[in-house]
Amino acid sequence: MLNLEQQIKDAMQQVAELSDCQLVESINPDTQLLECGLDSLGYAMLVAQLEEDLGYDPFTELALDTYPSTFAEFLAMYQQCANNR
Amino acid sequence: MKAGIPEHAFKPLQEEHLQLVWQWRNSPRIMQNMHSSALVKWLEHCAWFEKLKGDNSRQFYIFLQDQRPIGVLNFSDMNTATPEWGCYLGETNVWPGSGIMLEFAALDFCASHHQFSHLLAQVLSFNHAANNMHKVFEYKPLSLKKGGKRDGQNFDIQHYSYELKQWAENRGKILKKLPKKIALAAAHMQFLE
Repeated sequence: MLNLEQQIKDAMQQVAELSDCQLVESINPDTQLLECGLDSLGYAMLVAQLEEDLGYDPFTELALDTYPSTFAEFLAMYQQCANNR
Repeated sequence: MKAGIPEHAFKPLQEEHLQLVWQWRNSPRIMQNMHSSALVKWLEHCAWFEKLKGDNSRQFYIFLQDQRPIGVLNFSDMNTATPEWGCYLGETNVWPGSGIMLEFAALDFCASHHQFSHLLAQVLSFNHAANNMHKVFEYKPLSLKKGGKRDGQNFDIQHYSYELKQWAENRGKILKKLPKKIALAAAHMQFLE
């Protein structure tokens, strides 16, 4: 079974292809979500795709102080949501 | 703490957000997609704001997400039938789909003013995200004009137009192509006085 980080990266690649976007060469923990190559629609599609793949949407389920800015924050939010289930 | 779909509102720019907008405008991420990539001095920014206040042809809104300022939406040529718009997200920790909200807001706002026939836009050729979004919303590409040089590379300026009477027909069709939560968020946007 793929780990969560890889699942998210795979979903990013899938969404990039669907939405005609080009992901940056390497997604690392500090990569800004707004600069990873996905546009706003791509980012929204990524969250929808992950909800389909994982069965949850942290943006809806978690009481967030703030939204994630980097890939590390995005991953941590999904990990927190997975742990809560 | 927030959960669920955030609320979006647009508030005319006032002094309280002037410094924030200046910081956004001078951040490398925003500057790179502007016509002019030069730093704006504080006094120039204040002078721009003073001029804006007395200019009926322009409107400049702060984009609020759950009451937090995250970007701007601006219109020019409001005294013509074909206003032009621009926008950016100043913050990076925003709800997924925030940029789409700006697209909806611009079209909804102008389509609700019946004196406008078309909404115009300009995007620098290397700004793939903005060009892609305009394509999704079915803007009509107009001319491609020479823009200049940025980081040693030539770039063009893509001009777009949207016939506003088409927006009423297209809005629902475009919403169907987007994630469902976008439709929920788009239903609750408001322009504040």
